[in-house]
Amino acid sequence: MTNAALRSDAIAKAEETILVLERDVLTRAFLADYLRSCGYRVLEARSAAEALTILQESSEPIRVVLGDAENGFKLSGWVKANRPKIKVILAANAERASQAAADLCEIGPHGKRPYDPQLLVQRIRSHLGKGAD
Amino acid sequence: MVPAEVVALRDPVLLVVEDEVLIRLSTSDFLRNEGFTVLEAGSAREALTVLNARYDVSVVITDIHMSGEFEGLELIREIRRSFPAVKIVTASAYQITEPVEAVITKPYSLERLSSVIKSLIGN
Repeated sequence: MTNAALRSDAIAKAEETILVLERDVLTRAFLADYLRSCGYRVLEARSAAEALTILQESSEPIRVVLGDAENGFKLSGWVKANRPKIKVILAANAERASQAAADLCEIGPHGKRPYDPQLLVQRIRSHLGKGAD
Repeated sequence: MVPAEVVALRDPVLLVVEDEVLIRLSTSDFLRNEGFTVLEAGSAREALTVLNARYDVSVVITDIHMSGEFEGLELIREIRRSFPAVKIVTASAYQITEPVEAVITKPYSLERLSSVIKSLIGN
């Protein structure tokens, strides 16, 4: 790949946008921060209704929705029918959401995890004051 | 409660409290592009959850009128009671009497908001 192509690819990847749909504000903030630190543009929604508003009214080129299982399931049917190119990842708990975020970082703009996803889980749990499951 | 000196030693972290998702998104996005670390809360209750869990919030930017049983004015009073080191910027179309660091009159520009925040944190 030429330098110009590499730059173009880097710009395209830097513009990749992920919508984090998570009802718990602290978990949402940590996941969003983690994904931003590996170069994604991140939008945050706290409910399926908010996520739907963003998907319908924002001009953001959203590639992935990373959602908690309950809210994400409500939204996934709409996404499949109306935005079939958007990938929906549902996570049953903080550990799975963290692992999904880490996997996205490995394929994403910077191509590496900012730090171990287990640390992300620990941070979420310590701030929640109990298990985040 | 977070001691004032602890907050003062940290990089400025902002908390944007707004129940309208697209306004919250655009405000937070603009402030991130201005170089701030921005946390988002969709309600006054979420804002208190964040403030109780994180020690690093320097400035809260909150709307006054929000849906839910607990709204902007009560949030301001609670911040004043429990987090006195945290500065508050609020946007309102009306005069308010709550003790906040800055009130910006609606409608306002995001540039104006950013400028007010920077003056508050001495940047």
